[in-house]
Amino acid sequence: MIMSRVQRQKLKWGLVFISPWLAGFIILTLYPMGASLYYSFTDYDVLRPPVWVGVQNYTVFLTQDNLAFTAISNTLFYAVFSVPLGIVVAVALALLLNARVKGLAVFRSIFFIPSIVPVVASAVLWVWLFSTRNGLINLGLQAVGLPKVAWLSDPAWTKPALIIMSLWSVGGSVVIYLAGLQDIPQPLYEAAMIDGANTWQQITRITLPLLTPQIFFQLVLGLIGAFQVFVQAFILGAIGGGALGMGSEAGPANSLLFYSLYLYLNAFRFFRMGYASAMAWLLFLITLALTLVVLRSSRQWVHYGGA
Amino acid sequence: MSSKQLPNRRMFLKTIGFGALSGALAACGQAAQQSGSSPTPIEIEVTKEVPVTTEVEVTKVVEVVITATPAPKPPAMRVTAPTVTPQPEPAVDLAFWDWYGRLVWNNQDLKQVQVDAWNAANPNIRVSYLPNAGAKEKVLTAVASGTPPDLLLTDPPADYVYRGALETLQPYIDLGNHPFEKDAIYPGVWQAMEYEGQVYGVHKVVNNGGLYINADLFWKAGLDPDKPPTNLKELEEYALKVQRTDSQGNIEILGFSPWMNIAGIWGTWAQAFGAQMWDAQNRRVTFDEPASIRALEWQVEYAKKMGGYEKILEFNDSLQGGVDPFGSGRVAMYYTGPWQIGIMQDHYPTINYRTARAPVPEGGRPGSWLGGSWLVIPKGTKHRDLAWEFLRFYCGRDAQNYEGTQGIGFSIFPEDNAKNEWFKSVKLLQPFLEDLPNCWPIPLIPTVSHAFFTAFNPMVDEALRGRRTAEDAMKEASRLAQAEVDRFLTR
Repeated sequence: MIMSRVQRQKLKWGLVFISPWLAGFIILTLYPMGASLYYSFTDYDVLRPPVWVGVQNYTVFLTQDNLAFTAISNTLFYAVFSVPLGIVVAVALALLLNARVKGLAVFRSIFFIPSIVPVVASAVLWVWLFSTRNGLINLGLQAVGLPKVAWLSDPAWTKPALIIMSLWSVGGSVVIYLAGLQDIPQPLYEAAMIDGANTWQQITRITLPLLTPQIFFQLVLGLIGAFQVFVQAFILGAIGGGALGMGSEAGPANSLLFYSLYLYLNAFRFFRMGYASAMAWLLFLITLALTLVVLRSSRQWVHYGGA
Repeated sequence: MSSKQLPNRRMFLKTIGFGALSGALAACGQAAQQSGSSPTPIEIEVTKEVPVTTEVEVTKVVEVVITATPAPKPPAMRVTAPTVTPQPEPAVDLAFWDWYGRLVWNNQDLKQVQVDAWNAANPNIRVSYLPNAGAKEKVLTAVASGTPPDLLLTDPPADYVYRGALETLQPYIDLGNHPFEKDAIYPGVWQAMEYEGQVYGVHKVVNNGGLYINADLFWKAGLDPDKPPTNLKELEEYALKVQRTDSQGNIEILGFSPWMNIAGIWGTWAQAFGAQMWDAQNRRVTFDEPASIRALEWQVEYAKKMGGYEKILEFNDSLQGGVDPFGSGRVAMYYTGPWQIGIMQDHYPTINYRTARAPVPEGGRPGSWLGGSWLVIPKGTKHRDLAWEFLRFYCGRDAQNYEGTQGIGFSIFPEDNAKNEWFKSVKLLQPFLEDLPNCWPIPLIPTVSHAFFTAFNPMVDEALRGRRTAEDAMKEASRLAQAEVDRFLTR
């Protein structure tokens, strides 16, 4: 491509102006990504120089590591339940918060607050809520005649506990759905009402279809987030540890060993940096593939109103 | 560690930062760092159910207050450092990182006091102490980049030793101008300083596990707290007698848990049953020794007798965060280190309690594993000789004696502990002192944290949940740990 002198001049100044970002991107993102790609083909423990091992890290993880299977299935379990549930709850809350009632701003603030509580603090809070004998959740269950649940020490219940916990911070997505709801043209509802549509019909025929762009956006973000779930599991493992008996820090019977947690353990507990790098790249590929599937499917179900 | 003791910020960060590994040892030396409120102790009725006359009971209680309470404070002590001659010109700064935090006890910042004493005597060799700076990834990165700290206090140094991250101290040891003679140090302590014939670090203040007995709960159950269980069979018997469950079968007061606080970590029970766990000659992890399997079978049986593993987990879960389960009277017998005496003194002064030697099976190996910190010199320091000079002081007899006495731990030199008049006057410390010569090191597996926290402990858990037999669990633990050792050593 041939550039005129003016264009070259403009390019130069453009680059100068974005150079702070460019430098940050190259040094803090591009280089580490490249380095981790390189390390993923090595055996590297930080102190000794890396040794090239080819694709061994990838093949071992995919074919020989028992914990890899546990980590992937735990993560899938979490993603399959937490993402749809999160969307349903957030949309429902948004619909409620969109109603014209007094003190709406207060309610919106209340539902948003959990999203700004640091995740460590909220995890500590949830450890208490989930306490088997004194926890509020179990007291509630018992009040309606249901049995107590050992949320944090029974391997069958640790992931459901984490999913329930994840619903607590849907405030962020509620805000986005609220914005989407404001965007839906009023005349559509008026027309529907004239045609005799009841509220449920209005929601299913107008609101939800026109909310699909936001749902789609949240689905993609939710999937990526679910595959990276780490902090909550890490804290529940570490703090709830007292209740977890002799199990590992990945919860009883490794039931909270999520992909990212296992990656972290390999990198910073066992210093298998090469292996952890390979895991990171595999996670990237998995997330990319799933995102592409969702993107492809979006043509069938996402409706962009107005356009 | 009982991770229910949360509110202390440092403990919390430790838990997050290092996970279970540090938690295990973090408890050592924790005495001085317990902060927070003193909860009201649970009131216990003593008299009603005891088939002895009330008068006798009262006499006993009075007696206990006198004998069970240790001398409130250790004697005031000074620590002085030798001056290294000649002093280097120009002055040198030594960075001293600590994996653990400050040790503050009776308003004294014990580690800082020692560093200050050194700096006063050595104006040109300034040591700057940095607590909470020993996260492994941080230290390894510093060593890899050629800017390591000059001195490091750490938990078991195996992970560093086998990565070549430490300077060997053997040339200095061979010179002989130091107190670190094999015969002058507890045998278990010495073993944990030496890796394949080379000394890599010197233990600073050592502590071991013992049994704490709640005297009130014992009397209430018709037991005599001055006759502690002498083996696991008696421990079981007493635990069942003192344990209290509510109408729904929930444990209200737990007799004893083999997995609470420091009990059960680093393979305590396997070692008590006589297992070695590591064959240094052949570099084999031996978690599947018969003794280790027997130990696990005992734990499985024990859990069943106490109402089931799940019930004990549920009990752990019911403990209030930040409240010591022994101090608050929820646990009758408690396996932990001497620092508990400090916790009791500070927060639960009204509880009558006794200490006893660590419980082991009949004919088993007496003692417990040894905790504490190791002072090491990371590879690549520019001031190796001066770092050694500081180490010679900091791990020397005076400094060990000072920190041990002031911080409720023990010197690594048995002779000094035997001469320590304050130790002699505190009855509660005697069982620990008696056990020390028998205690064993944390197994010297090169990948020790992986071996225990990824292989051994989860497999113990599997067996306790009935998902595997004890034998199967230990075989699998051995296999998992060995694979990591092989991978690590053969590269």
